Amino acid sequence: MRPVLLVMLQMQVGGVAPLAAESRDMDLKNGLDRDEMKFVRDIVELQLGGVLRVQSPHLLNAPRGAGGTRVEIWLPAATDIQLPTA
Amino acid sequence: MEFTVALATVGAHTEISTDPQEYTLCRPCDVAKVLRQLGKAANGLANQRHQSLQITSSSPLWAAVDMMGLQRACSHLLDNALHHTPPGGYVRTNAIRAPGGGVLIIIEDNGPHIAVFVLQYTVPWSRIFSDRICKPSFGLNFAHSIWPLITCFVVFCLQILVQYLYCGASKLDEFS
Repeated sequence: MRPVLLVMLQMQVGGVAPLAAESRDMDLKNGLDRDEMKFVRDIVELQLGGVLRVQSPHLLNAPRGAGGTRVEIWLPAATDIQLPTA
Repeated sequence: MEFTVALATVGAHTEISTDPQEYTLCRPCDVAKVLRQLGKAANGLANQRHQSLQITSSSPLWAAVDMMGLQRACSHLLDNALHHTPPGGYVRTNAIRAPGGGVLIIIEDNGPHIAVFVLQYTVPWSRIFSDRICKPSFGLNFAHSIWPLITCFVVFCLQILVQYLYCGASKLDEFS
């Protein structure tokens, strides 16, 4: 397995994400775009590696400059692990 | 302004190595346990700074990740969050089973956010671009598939990845 690390930095609250649109009434819009979601799931499900997603700011109704930071770490599950043999 | 950067890293090892250090990369690790330990350690700091630290995780969550590496990364992230959140703020950590079958760790705080200009000065873009390696096999397919989604795509070799992660951890200090 060649490890892959994908780092996604999102410097905007919300966006055009369909998942985010559903949670519009909440103060927190942190949904993943459908394409992003598919992409992240591909990496995690196929055990290619992990995804680090940094969203800053992530709070909608926050004072100016204090939007908070949200870090998501997606790790592959530990099932069906093939240890390399000599 | 949409500012999305994706850094994809492809290991330089194309063949399976017999180096015992490689084994630690895939040994299963209990994420919940790591977070619990970190929570105990960080509680004192949070109390001292009058912040609320909340760590929730479900039953044992096994992930294919190096335990020491995860511990180090999460400790850095928690530490940054606590240090950059003003007194009275909160830091929440949650570990759940991801929709795709993996493990998802979420660390969020309500401190100041990352400014775009900070990113421009702290990320060593020139070094990353001068060292990039585009291999025709996996890397390029990967790049083509995600190209519409992102602004920037970088493929590293493993050594640069390690270097970048080690300096990247401290760079995140300045971000959050």
